[in-house]
Amino acid sequence: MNQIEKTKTRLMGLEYAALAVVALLMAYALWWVFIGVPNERVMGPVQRIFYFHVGSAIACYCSVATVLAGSLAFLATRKRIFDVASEAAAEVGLVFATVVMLSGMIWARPIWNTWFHWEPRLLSFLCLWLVFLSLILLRRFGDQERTPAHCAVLGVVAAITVPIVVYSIQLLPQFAQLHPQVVGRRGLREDSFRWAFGITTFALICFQFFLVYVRARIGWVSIRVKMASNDAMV
Amino acid sequence: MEHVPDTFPWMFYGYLAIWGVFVFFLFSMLRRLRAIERTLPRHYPSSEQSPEQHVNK
Repeated sequence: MNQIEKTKTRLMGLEYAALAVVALLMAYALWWVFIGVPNERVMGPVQRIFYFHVGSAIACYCSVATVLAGSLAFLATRKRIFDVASEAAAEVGLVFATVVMLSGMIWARPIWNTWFHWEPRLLSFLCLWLVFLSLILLRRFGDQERTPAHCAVLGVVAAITVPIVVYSIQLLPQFAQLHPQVVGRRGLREDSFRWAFGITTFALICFQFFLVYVRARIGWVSIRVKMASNDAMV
Repeated sequence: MEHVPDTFPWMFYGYLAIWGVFVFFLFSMLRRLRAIERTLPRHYPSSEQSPEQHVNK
């Protein structure tokens, strides 16, 4: 059987089941975010952004972990499949990082009275977003032969950024920065808040891995199509 | 009774942005999938080589 025929572009049985599970989890998470939890008394309804904002940040770190694993595996084996996985995770990571940035800015505007503040957490996350963007741009405009190796090295750099983002909040005392340290300081005291946060984060992580899988399959098929067209030209 | 600020519009904008980004990405993936599917039948006969053979040294 030929190579492209083996790689279907449509979703199949188990993948539809995974999609259904992700959709159900997301619907359950949205129910908790909008109905299950009460309004936070200081910030009001806008605090509900928290669940998707922090959940997306954690899902984004999962993308970075996938990029790191794919990059290291590619550097060790030079197998194209790891590069494809790394590329897919980088693209999905950029999507989640963009969600974190946008939702954070929209949340910050009514609460801090500013869209952005130059402080360690926000600045380090902006750096992570830029690293993701550079991974995408490098693939688009880089030298085709060397791009996978260059992207693998940049993928390792992206992974180094994550602990900097996580611990950047501890560089300054809380009174010197606007970004709160909610989870680390046990800010979610009510059970419903904790449950909504947990289920939303889990749903977003599952959604992220599903997107990486689908994007990687598209990447894999497009490589086969490109090779087939090269063969046809020869 | 405690006064809870009415920040509903900002919550709405926030979730609009979140789902806007997700939907944009899903549509871009769908567009790429359609583009591949359009080229697929033309290349069916000659694709015996594995992508592993195209690995950069």
